[in-house]
Amino acid sequence: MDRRSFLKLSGVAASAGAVGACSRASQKVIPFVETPNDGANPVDGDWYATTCRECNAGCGIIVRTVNGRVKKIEGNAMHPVSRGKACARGQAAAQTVYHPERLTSPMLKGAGGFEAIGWDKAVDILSQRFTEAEGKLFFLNNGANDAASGIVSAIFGKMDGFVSAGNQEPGFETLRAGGKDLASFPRMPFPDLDHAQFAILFGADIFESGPSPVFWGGAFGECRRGRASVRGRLVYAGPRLSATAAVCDLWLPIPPGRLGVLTLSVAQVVVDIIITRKLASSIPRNALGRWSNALREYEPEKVAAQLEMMPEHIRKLALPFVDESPSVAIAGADVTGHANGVAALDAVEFLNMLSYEIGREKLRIHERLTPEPNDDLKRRIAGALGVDHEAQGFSRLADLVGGMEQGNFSMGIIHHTNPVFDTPSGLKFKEAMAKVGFTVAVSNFMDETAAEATLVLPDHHWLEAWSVQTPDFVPGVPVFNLQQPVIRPFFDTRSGADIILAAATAAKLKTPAATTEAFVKGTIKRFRAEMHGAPVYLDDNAFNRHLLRNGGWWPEQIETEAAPVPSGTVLWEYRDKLKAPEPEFDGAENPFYLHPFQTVHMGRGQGANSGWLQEAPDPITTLMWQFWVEMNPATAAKLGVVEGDMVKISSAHGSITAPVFPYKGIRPDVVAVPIGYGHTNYGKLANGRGENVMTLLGAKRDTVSGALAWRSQKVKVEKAEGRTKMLRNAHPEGEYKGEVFQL
Amino acid sequence: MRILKESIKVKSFNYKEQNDYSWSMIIDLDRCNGCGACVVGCQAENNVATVGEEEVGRKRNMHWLRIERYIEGEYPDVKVRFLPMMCQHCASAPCESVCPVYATYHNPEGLNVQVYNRCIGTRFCGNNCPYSVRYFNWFDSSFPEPVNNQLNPDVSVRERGIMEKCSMCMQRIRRGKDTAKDEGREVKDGDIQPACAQTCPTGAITFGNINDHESKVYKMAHSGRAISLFEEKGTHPAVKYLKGGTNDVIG
Repeated sequence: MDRRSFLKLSGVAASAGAVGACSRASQKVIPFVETPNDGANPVDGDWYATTCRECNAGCGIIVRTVNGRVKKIEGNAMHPVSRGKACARGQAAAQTVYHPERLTSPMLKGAGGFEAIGWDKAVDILSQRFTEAEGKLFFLNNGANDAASGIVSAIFGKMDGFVSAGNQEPGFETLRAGGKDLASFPRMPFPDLDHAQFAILFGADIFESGPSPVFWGGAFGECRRGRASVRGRLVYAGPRLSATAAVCDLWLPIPPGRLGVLTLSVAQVVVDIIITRKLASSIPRNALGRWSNALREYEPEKVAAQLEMMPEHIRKLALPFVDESPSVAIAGADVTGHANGVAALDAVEFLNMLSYEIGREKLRIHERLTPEPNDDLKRRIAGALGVDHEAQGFSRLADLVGGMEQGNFSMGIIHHTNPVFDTPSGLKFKEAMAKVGFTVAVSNFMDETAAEATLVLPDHHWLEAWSVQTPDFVPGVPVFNLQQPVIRPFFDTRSGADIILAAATAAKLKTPAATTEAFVKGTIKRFRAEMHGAPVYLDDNAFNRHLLRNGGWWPEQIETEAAPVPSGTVLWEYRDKLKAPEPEFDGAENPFYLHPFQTVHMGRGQGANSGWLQEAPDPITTLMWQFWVEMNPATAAKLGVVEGDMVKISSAHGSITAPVFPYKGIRPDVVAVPIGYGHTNYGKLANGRGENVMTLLGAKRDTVSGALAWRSQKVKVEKAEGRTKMLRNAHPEGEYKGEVFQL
Repeated sequence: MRILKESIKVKSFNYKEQNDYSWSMIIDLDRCNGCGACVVGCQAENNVATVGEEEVGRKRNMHWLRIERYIEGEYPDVKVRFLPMMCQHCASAPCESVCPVYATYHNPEGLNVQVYNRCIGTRFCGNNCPYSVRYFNWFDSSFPEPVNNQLNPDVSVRERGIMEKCSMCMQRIRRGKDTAKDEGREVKDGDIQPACAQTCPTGAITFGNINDHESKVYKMAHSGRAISLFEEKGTHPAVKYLKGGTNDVIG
């Protein structure tokens, strides 16, 4: 090909790209040029702003497309959650769109298994079922507030018998319930780590299982080295040295379930310092006196033994908390994972309130730039998108399962969530699902839940679909995330929400809009008057384009105080909350605490079918493609096992076998198992890779919030037959020690 | 004698000063949390193939960027450290001098460049690299339909029998320079970001022109925390690391 015809063809391709064509012919027009690296041939491509839907954090992203194909995902620099960054799972979504195992045709379960049916037939069947159900149906998603849940609740919400629930990450409702009285509205705890000088992380694996690993990553970076003269210091307390704990300056291996005690002990010292040094004048002195009395039983000397710490070390932890203001306390998975989670969270939020009051007086640095909070608007946006926060909790899910067992539902819609795989076996979701006559799974892939459904509807990938989403994460701040199709659908899929709308229309039900796109645009119109800072003078179309270019709307940054100041009565009464109940454990007679944990790559198992994520080494173990159980080398020695030996872990609910990874950063009485492994029906990369730790769990719950207490299980561990080679990713010539590089 | 002097002049590392750009990367180890976003981001940008469980077991995985993890101390005083490791783009690169076909050479902007269609797969360079950051294609990389739709058209897909490694996202450098040229200016600090730096949630990775004394990388490289890996080997890497801090909380 000569230069002239090449340029001509490029021109054709460029104009084809401009009108959004993405036929496969375009691929042939510009072949992947093989040039030396130095002569790389950069193509511009088109960038679209949208929202990452790999988890519910709601990170704003921008997507590079070339010739109608997704090439790369980056963070949206303007977005308050992602701040221009993306995580491994977000990055991997660019490949998931083109996953060879994506479902392409609706399937109906018959006598001989699934049978492909046409889209028209799928809509017919669904509309007939909608008519027959008469509102006796349920909708279960992953806890997202998005267009699909908004549409479903607009159609069915007012019908008797309709239940909507969310199968969200365990522990989120505990995060919301904790410290409720200290805030003016229920919200996720949101300590200002960015500007903190000193932070105590109470079992908070913020880079692995927090509401947004990307947001917390950015906050950590700022805290650590974002300021010229201050290096933020972090302390991690919890039974396992997680990837989050690894970056902290100190790890305190506290026994499982005792973090509330540690928090209150630190609080006791802090309150005493406030009284003696006459700090925080905004707090009424009699409230301080009441707290001091209530906290007497948590004096370091009295609790040090059960925390396995020296009393003076607890005091040394409390000192910088006062002196290095602003300081924050962050609670996470190891607090919410226990049945006493809400109580511990109340304590953590109490500590944050103390820190805030100290810092406000001393330095006035808690005033910071944040997006303007507007809780009312936030709630109304979430309301328009269907799911309320109560519906996202484990309690509602457990109620739903109860209802399914009693035959309360004639049909159910399961939307992009895999409860058969990722809920504990004690919940018995699979058994309950079998009792519902007709279940619809809206999904991109065949998974354990879709396999149990009657009708499977292959949805567009989120990069191909319209939606609007609002994250619960930034407390009080309304964030209106738009999700737009950045490419034309690659396979013969349909938007799940569109199909539901079509079927509902055919069933003569009242629908909020004709299509998801219309619903999204209608929602923009509904709220556009309240979107401060957006160009109000534009007409609807131009306004929509403006929002799509930005990836949505969020308030401008204003100078605000970090936390609302609670009233005096609340402060006085708070002494009753300063209690740390004893942790309760399922299978308490067993010798080991089970510590299931999320990894940065697998999520709750969604990442398991991605080659990129399977081959990306786990941060701590550096294992690839592999499942493992972590235990202290001393424990391994006691069991007579070495790295790669199989052990059997069993509880009353089930048992799994896993190869041992001896890890020095874990308490000897704890065994840690990653979640998200052990798929049985999620494609060839995921199937048979390890076992599912959820099968070991009963459905023990937090006594206050009803959240799943996913770390309150004790187990037996014994040596099993067999060995596996552990596939660690290290320097090919062996593992160096850090000293080699004088770190 | 004059020729000898000339050659010494060429070999001295000051030659960088004579060019507009000398690319450098600074990695703040105190910020890195080992999350691996850079690893997957690099894979997405540079068409890096996955090799599967079996080949991973033979240490044939191709990640241009890996995160080394060090566990030090004994329970309960355990420290885990992370160190992102990619091609260090050494000014005096041990890999360059051993390549019989000049497939790897040093470009005028301080980058160690691999020319794929010169490479004949002797693997001398990989053996000579003290950082073990060169990866050999033992197989034709498999991007089966429809996965190939994601491939980045800016970057060639490597075939069996050749070496590959981090290019500092050469295609992005090219694009950044092209854009600057179109706009009639020099590349500004922050214009160009390799995929790893752009995605890093904690902001641990910074890329820029170390010849520009106002650039972030220049300032960070002279901050007193900067170290080069294996400095004693005299490789003069273009990648520098900022040491972590060690102020104890209890002690």
